[in-house]
Amino acid sequence: MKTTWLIAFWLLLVSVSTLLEPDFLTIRIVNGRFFGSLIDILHHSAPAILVSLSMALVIGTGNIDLSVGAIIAIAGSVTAVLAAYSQLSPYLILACSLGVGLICGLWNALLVAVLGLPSFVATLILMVSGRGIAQIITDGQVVTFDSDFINGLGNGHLWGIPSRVLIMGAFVLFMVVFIRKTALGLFIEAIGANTRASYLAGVNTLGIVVFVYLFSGVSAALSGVLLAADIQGADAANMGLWIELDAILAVVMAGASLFGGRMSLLGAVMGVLIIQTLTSMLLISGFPAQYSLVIKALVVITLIIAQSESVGQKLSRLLPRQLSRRWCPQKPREEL
Amino acid sequence: MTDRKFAPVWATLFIFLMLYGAGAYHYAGFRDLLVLSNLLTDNAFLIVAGIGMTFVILSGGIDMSVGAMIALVGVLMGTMLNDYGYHPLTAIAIALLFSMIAGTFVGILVAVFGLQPFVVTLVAMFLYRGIAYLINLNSVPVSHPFLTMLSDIYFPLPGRGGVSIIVLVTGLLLVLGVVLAHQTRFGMNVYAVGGDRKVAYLMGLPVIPTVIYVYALSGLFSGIAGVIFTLYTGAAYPLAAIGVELDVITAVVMGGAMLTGGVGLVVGTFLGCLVLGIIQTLIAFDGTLNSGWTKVAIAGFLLLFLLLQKGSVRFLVRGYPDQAD
Amino acid sequence: MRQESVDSLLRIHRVSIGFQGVWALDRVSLDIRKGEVHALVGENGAGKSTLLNILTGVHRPDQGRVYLENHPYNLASPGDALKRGVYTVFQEPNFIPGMTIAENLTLFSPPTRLGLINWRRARRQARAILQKVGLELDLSRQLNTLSVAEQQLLAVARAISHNAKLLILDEATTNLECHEVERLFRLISSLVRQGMSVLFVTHHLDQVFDYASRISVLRNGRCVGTFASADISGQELVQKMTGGIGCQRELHPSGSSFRPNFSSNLCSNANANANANANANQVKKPFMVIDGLGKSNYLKPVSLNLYQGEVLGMTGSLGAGQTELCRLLYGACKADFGKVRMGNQTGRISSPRTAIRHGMAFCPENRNVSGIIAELSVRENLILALQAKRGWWLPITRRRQVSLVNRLVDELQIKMPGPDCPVHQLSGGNQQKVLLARWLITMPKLFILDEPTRGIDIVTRAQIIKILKELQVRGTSIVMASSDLNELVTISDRILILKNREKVLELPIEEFDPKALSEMLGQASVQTQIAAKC
Repeated sequence: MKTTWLIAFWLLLVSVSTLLEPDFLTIRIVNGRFFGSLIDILHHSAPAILVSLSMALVIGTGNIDLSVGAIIAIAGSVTAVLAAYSQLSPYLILACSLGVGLICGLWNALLVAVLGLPSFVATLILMVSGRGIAQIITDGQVVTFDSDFINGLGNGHLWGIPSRVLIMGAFVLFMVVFIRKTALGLFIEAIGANTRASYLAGVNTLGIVVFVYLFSGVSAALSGVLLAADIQGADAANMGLWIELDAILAVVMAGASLFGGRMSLLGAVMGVLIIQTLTSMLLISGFPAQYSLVIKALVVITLIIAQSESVGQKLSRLLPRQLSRRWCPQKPREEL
Repeated sequence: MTDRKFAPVWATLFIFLMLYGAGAYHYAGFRDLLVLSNLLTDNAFLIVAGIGMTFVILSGGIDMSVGAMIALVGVLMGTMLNDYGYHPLTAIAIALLFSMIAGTFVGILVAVFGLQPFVVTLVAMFLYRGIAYLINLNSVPVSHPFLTMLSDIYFPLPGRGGVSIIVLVTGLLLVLGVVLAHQTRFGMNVYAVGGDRKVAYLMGLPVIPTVIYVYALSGLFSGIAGVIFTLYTGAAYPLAAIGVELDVITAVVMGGAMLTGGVGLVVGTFLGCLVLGIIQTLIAFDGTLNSGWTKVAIAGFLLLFLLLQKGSVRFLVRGYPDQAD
Repeated sequence: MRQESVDSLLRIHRVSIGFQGVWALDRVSLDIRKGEVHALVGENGAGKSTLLNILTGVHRPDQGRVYLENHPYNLASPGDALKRGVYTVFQEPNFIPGMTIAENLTLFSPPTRLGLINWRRARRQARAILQKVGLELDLSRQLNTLSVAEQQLLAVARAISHNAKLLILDEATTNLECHEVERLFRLISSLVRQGMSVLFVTHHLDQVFDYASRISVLRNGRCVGTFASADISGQELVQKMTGGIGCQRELHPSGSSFRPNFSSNLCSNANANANANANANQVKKPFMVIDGLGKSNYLKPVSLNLYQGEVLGMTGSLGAGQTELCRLLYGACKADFGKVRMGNQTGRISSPRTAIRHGMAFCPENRNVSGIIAELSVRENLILALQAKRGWWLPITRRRQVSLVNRLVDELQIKMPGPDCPVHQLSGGNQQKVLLARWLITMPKLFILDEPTRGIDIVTRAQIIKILKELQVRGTSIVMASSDLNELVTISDRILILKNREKVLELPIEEFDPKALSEMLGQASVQTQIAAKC
């Protein structure tokens, strides 16, 4: 339901953009490649979508992962340093970077699931130190490299479609199938909604929480590789900066509660797309670039308020009784 | 038994002294009182923002908008001084009033509408930065004869150290924060609401107003931190103080506060800020180390504190095993 | 009538309130006089806590009125109750755990000077309060370092210091030892003589007779009546609370079309075996032997044999150890000592997952906290345990889920808008049925139920009992803790009585005499408490 509203809102943004710029929907083929605003939007939002999807899982269990930006920086730096200074095969570099993400996820999982620290502070540790670690890896420099394979990941094309979009699409498809076609989605939502009851019903609560953090680590690392590949280098201080906050907002926009429970994977994707579309809409409408942040913040808070049940209840109390009856469940009559 | 409440503070103090001792042992320049007074001046804005954040965290919430508010207040001041020619005092007053109103607004969203503090303050963070961009995209100098006069106030101490106006204000605010936390009904209510919101409600305490005041206070204190930051750097820049909220939260947690609310001391936050500051000073003194080590060291100490806290909590709250679940 | 309203302090007049389709209180009228100790008794779910929630300002009644000293007693928030002089001492006393004694006692109305709290005066006041109740405690101690008894006395002290007109003790004596209870009531009786009234809610009937002058009984949300404690015996009171044996007829509604049918593709050979064994129950070979299972500070070692197709009923007063035993059996709480033998395997059940692997199922005491997953749908709640047993990689297909849900909804007569409706929209009884259904589809060999009928209406209770009987016939072994004796008598083959976290008696149902137990529960707890402590 909520996802439907987000899609409707996104379509609204797209139509407004089309009104402003009739070329918005056109996709041209130049040199066998697709070009167009929509492709651009997908291309730009790919790293955030990767991160938001796994963030949706983490938030689904009622936890949070603040460290994804830092993991992006670490994985990007590892990619860049290995590609620049070592003779390793690009596949091995990719594997190493993803492995580093796995280790980061394991670290978070250790703190949250095993030691039982609150996830906010537990992942804050890696968030704070991660960029430091990345700076140590790159020795504080912006490391650039030249590798055809990795470059292809960031800027290449396959069947005319940017490889980044393809990777993102494959990832989304994999995620949705993996989570929704197995029982993982059910377990994640059950844990988020009531950990104790899920534990008593036999759900492996520890294992699932470890899993979502591992997953979050790997997908952040993948995102880091893509970002490093894009600029063929790594800037430890700025790579993926604040991406975790964007991702959290996208997930919350999709109607998820930070206390866990219901999650919407497609909603998280739509959340990122909405923000990205809004950005390009503001660009083509000729708004000075500095307006975009304010407008984005206002749109996001409006969507969040509209999604919030408590606000709905508060408002319905202000409405006349006939109207409010629709939202306030009636007190049922005596059963006997 | 009061020492139990102060135990994390003693731990923080101990670590601070250890770090200072290590610095003084290795570097002769460290023994200078100047290092200490600089430590206070350099971290004044952090300490002031930390006082406000302490109240928010005590109430069981969080404020992610601190850094953005610091930048926005700086930009506001810069514009009012440079473009409109306001007197600095007027500019400061308007900026602080703005920050307090903005904080109140956040508080209403959190307390009355029941939105999650993390989300609301996160959006506020983007909003404040966005407004700062709207006003000014570049770094502009903030200077005025009055401000120069203020900066020149300096009470020298023996050993090349001294107390600047910034440190003085910070000290006053620190005292104010401690008094507010422990000598007023408001402070008691904050502890009560964070300690157990349901009990506070059943005791008839004003839960919703308290939460609103807390965010208003945090807005005001980050505003003051913004003024101090502007005085300290002499410039206003919309990208300033990025990520300061994380430093502040780290400092508060290091000071012994629990993110679940109800536990923590303003003095602890002060010491937490000093520990952050001295780690930076140490790494700067070394000169050869990558600045990345600062962050790693801070995170390491944060983890240490969390584990200590967890251990001590488990140790203190023994007794009857889980009846509840 | 006129005379009565003059010396009455609090008058509750035909108060009703409903939640989720059930009237928690149905036209309850009560009258508390000035200067009396008035006891309010009733079983779990009888509506005591709801009534207290109205008096403390947490809920507002849907119908009816409350008067305090002949003025309408309408509360906007709990703070109002305190302002009107109505103080409550809860089983878990109302203190902020992280604050000191002095701070907690000062919190409500701190003495101020120039807007700042005058701590010296606050401490002096706090010390005076402590002296009044004869507690010698360090004022700077944190609240969570105090024993529950100390906290309770402190809570009473706080009420006194604010000149309470009515003191409500909500199970406040449950966690106290007998000499502490005496101390508390010595203090209270001196205050009662000065005109304070006390509403005393408890499960300890002996304390009711010792201290209360009048007793009101609630049952299923209705007030059965108010009696002078001199005019009624303990047995009569227990009968009034439980509805007596006459209740049994209600347990079997004649027109019920309820016919469980578990034979389906799910129950294959396991069920066939179970059936065979159920018939051979006379052989009495235990399928599970529990040997000295216990945990320090939790439950004294219990030894038990469980037989296939047999219902073991468990009872005792509140907190006597039934919940603890259930949890230890299921592994929800790890045992410190003792062993469990099942078939050829011997060991301890270390977690719910191990328990489930051994064919156990557990319906916990607190349905909302550890049973249902409120936000998830009926369908998801229903399949959760089976899915967890299968593992995440073997999802139950959507079609199979729907057919399972439809079948169980039919069999258990679960009333709901649809399988995808969030489970919290169902009434309590239907939620409980969903929980039962969750475990029924896992085909448990041992089903542990902790108060499965608490707070549930009579028709649903009867249905649940019938479901369990069907299960028993199919060879499932059932362990059920309940405070409702009628229920236990109708279903159990053996009864286990616990007291003070210890097994005291185990006897076959034929030898069990509910009256004897009523007497035991009605009078014996003080003696045993003394015996236990000395």
